[in-house]
Formats: sequence, C-alpha cells, structure tokens
Amino acid sequence: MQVSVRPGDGEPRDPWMRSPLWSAVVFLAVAVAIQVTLIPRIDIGDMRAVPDLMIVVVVAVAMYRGVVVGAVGGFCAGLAVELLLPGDTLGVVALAAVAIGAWCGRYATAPDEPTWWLFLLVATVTTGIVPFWVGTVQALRGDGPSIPEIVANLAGPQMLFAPLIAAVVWWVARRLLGSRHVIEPGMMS
Amino acid sequence: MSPRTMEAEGTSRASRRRIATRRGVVIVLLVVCVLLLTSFFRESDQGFLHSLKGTITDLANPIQGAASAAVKPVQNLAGWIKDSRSAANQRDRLQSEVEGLRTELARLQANKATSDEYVDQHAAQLQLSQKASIADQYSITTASVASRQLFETRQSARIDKGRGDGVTVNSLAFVPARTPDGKTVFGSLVGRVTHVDANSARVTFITDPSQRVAVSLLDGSDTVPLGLLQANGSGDLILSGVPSKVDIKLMTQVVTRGAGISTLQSPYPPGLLVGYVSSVGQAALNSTWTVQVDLFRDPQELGTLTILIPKSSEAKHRAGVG
Repeated sequence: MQVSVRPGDGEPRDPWMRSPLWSAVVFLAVAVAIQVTLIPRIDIGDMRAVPDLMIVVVVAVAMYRGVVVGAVGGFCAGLAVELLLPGDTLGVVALAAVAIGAWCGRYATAPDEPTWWLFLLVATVTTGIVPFWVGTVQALRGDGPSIPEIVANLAGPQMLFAPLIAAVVWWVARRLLGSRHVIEPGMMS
Repeated sequence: MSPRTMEAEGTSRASRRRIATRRGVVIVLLVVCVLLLTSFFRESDQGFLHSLKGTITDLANPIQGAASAAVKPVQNLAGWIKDSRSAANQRDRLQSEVEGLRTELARLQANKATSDEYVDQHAAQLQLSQKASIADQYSITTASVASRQLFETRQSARIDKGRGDGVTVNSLAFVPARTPDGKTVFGSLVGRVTHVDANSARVTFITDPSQRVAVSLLDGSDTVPLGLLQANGSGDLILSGVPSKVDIKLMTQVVTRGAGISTLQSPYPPGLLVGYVSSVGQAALNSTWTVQVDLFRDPQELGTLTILIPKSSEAKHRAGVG
C-alpha cells in the first residue's frame, strides 16, 4: 500500500501540520474561506471575473496528496463555494473541481516532483476550463453567455489572474504540504 | 502533459485494488455531482437543495459581512489610490479636453470674424455698386491682405491680387464701416494701390504721410471744400488752414472732393466717404482752423480689402493708366 515518492524541499514545522491529510484540509479550508469572503470584495474595475483561488489550491493539493484527496478535496471545496456564494448552480463547480482534482492527483505519483512552471501551467489552464464548463451547463439550460463573452469576461481574466495566484499558492503549498504524500482509503485504517 | 505514474506495479492484486478504489471514489463523486446538479436544476425554487443552499448562504452572510468589514480599510486604501489615479487621469484628460476646446473656440472665433468680415465686405461692395458713379466706372473685387509691414514705417499692406487680376496703380481701397447706430454698412475709402506686381499689389493707406486727399465737408446734400487731408508723423489725419469762416461741427462726415487739374487729376473721384471730424482747433493768433479727421475704421485691423479697379476710360484717365 506504500507509494514510493521523493520528499519535497521542506517539512512543515508545526506538529499538527505534519499530518499530510490535515495540512491539505486546512489549506483547502482557508482557500475556500478566502474565496467566499475576501475575494468577492476585491474590486477589479470593470472585470466580471474574480480570481479562482479555490481551483488553484485544489490543483496544488491534488499534486501533493494524490487522486483521492484531490477529488474529494475538489468536491468539498467546490460544493462549499457553490453553497456559500450566491448563484444558480449546485454541483456544477464541484463536478469540475472533482475532475480537475482527480486528474492533477496523478502528478502525485509521477516519478518527478512537480515543477513550479508545470504547476503554473496546469493551474492557469484549469482556471480557464472551469468558466467554460459552467458556461456550457448554463447554455444547456438556455441562459448561458456566448463563447466570446465567456472568453472575454470570465476565462480570459481568470487565466490572467491564475499565474499570480498560482505563484503564491505554490510557495505556500511547498511549506504547508511539504513533500508529496499520497493518501488513499486503505492507508487511513 | 499527462503525468507518467509509477503504477507499473499495478500488476499486483493490491495495486489493482487501490486503482479500483481510487477510480471508484472519483466516479462516485462525479455521479454525486451530476445528481446534485440535475436535481438542483429540476427542482423548484422551494425544493430541498434550493432551501439548503439558501439557508447556508444566509448563515454565511454574517461571516461574509464581517470579512467585508475587515477588508474595508484595505478596500478604502485601494479605492483611495485608485480614485487618486483616476482623478489624476481625469484631470489630465480634462486639461487636454479644455486645450482642445480652446483651440476649437479660437478657430471658430477666427472663422466667425472672417465670416463677419466677408459679410461686411459684401455689404460695403453692394453699397458702393449702388452708386452709379462707381458702378459705371469701376469693377469691384475683394483682395486678401497678404502681408503688412513688419515695422510700420509706411502705412501700407500687400494684397494678393495684382496685374493678372486687372489691378492697376491708383485702384482704390475700401473697408466696410458702420453707421453709429451699427445698422448700415458702407464702403469707406482707406487708400489706393501704389505699386502693382503680377500677382500682388501694394496698397498705401491715406494715413501714410506721403498721401494727400482733397476733401470736402458733407453738409447735408451740399459739400464744403476744406483742403488737402494729410497724415502727420503720428498717423493722425490733419486738415490745416481751413478758413475760420467755415462752420465745422464735430462728427461731420468728410468726403473726397475729386479735385485736380485736367492733366493731373486726383485719383479719387468725388463723393467717397473718408472719415469724420473728430476735433477742431484754432491757434490763438491764427484765423484758420486745424481739423482732425478720423477714419471710420482702421484699415490695419482687417484681413481683406475691397478694391475698385478703374474700368471706364474716365476712371482710367483719373487713375493715370489709360
């Protein structure tokens, strides 16, 4: 049941943060809290999009903790964001976050440690994918924006914000999550 | 970009079970999400999921409000910086807008002044053309002032019409002037052409000391000969030696007399308005008047002049060109 991974640069200093699972949970919880409280208050002029911190953190957690934690973390974080923020969807963002978390979790078992540029690239692409997915669902319901509107108002701005957020998240993830540590159901018992 | 995993060891039963568990978890979560979203879309606004979302959102509102209050100072600071930059940008934009509007205003005012001047010129030309003595003998044209003296040693201007346009020496120059009530525009004599080139000519104004004009006082329908009007060094038009028996009233109009001998006629025909009496003086031991005449309008202030070109043989003879 043990997965062989190479350790990262540093280990968390606080004892309670040394738990691979709890550090991921705390990281996601803080990200969701910031996403639903502070980020909507950021005034970015005429842009309708706001930075998607939650997805970037899901990517980071998945890359450090594996498919299961990535998928479950994405589900919980996505659902929490949808429940806590006003909106006309439930499960849509969560579905995207589960898929992204599961896919990015595969990097946790890759031979090489994820590099910062790979993380920035994946985070940027995934933050662009989510608005397209949400827009597609809304279009299927008959009230979605057009593709040019999604690109111009949502996906484009979020992909611009993503590298900036990802750089900070990468720095925090290296210190908070420490080395890669895949957690799966069998290991918890 | 798909990661290469290290699960080539997935040949073992444990590995296969782990992979299956992993996939199972993901699939279950995806299915739950699909169920959630379809249920949420299918149910009414009063449905369970809508109520749950509404309740949780309501519960989170105070927390979000507190967060909002917490970030308010930061927001205010950011807003202040943004407003400052915005205000600075707006100030720069408005300044450039004001500059543009000033330029536009100046252009429009210049256009209006030019337009008004042309209207006055045409009104003056109409008034002149209604005089049979002028209409029969002169052709009327408008000329723009091409340049003036840089240093006004001579009271003259260069116009943009010359020999090619029919302009001859001793063609007459007029400017539009208005009656004191400002309603009627008439042509006022200001000078004559003293030099002609192919495409330009020089007009010397009667305010130049080199010019002399025989003038009369317009007293009702009669004219009273006064003498030769000549400018002094200051450009003031002076009539000297006017007999003191002549009754001269201020503001009386002065017209050309058209005097001359048959072989050397005055280039000015009689009856052209020149100016008005602005002051009358008498030396203590002198029995004559010294009369100062002001022009109706300063010719130097205009960009155009009305030129009367001699047309008839009499006018050409008067001008000394025929």
